[in-house]
Amino acid sequence: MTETQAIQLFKCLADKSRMQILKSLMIEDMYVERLAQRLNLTPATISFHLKKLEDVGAVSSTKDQYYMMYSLRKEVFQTNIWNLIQEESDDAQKQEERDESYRNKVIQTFFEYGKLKSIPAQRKKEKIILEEIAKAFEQGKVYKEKEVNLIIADFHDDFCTIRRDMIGEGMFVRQDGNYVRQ
Amino acid sequence: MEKNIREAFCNYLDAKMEEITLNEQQLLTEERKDEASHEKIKSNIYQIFKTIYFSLEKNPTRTQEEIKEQFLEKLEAIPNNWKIALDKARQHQDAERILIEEIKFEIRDEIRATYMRIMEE
Repeated sequence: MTETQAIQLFKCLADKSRMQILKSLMIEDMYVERLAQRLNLTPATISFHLKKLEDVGAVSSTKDQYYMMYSLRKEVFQTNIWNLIQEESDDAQKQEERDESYRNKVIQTFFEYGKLKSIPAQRKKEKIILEEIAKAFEQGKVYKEKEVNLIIADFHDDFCTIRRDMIGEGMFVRQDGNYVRQ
Repeated sequence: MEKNIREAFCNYLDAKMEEITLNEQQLLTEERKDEASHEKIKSNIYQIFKTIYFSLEKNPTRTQEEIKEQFLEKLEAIPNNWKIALDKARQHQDAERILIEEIKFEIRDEIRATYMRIMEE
């Protein structure tokens, strides 16, 4: 577990309702309605907390016939806190974590449910969103302009600007009217 | 009559906001921060509709019927964006957003029902 992951986990656990959910899941795997009944909270509130716990890897879910069953991820709680504190993160790792955190923040700000809300004005931020869109393309594959436009249009209507800027950032190379993903 | 409606509706909204503030404080002392912030959302919704109602009420030329009609319109129009957000959240199974948008609708429905009851009394 990295330092950032540990911080996110501890932050998530600092909530009485979530602790109660985890205590219930220690007894056995449960579905939302059962937890809601047990803890006297609404099913929507339970789902809300379970999503947070799932995001930090504290619980996992599996579909069981009609219900989604939630289980405690015991291995996460068996991590030794002493070891976590002792673990030294080197500068390179710290910088990488900072970059990753910034990147995630930009993506969260500019994307909503996989759609780009607007094209960032700042070049640094735009590069991040272009890299995110570029993930939809296979490296080395040759695309026709129409194909490139269609894929980009899934993210944002202004596919011309995005396509042009992706070329500018070296993510694509034009070859005989086609586009090669670098 | 008009004064009674205004007073009854205002008392209801104020009592609700007070109750919610107490709940919020209680939840915070129990270290249930997220649920406390959900209470804050509820309080904001009461405050929004209180502001709207009293801005409609302020105009002395409006009759109670006109106020009622316009207030009910606002109760329908304002949540339009919430509906879009809720649909999107459901589509993407975003439990966090679903809960927040549902809370807003729940409070809006309650405000509308109480307002109608006061008007009919």
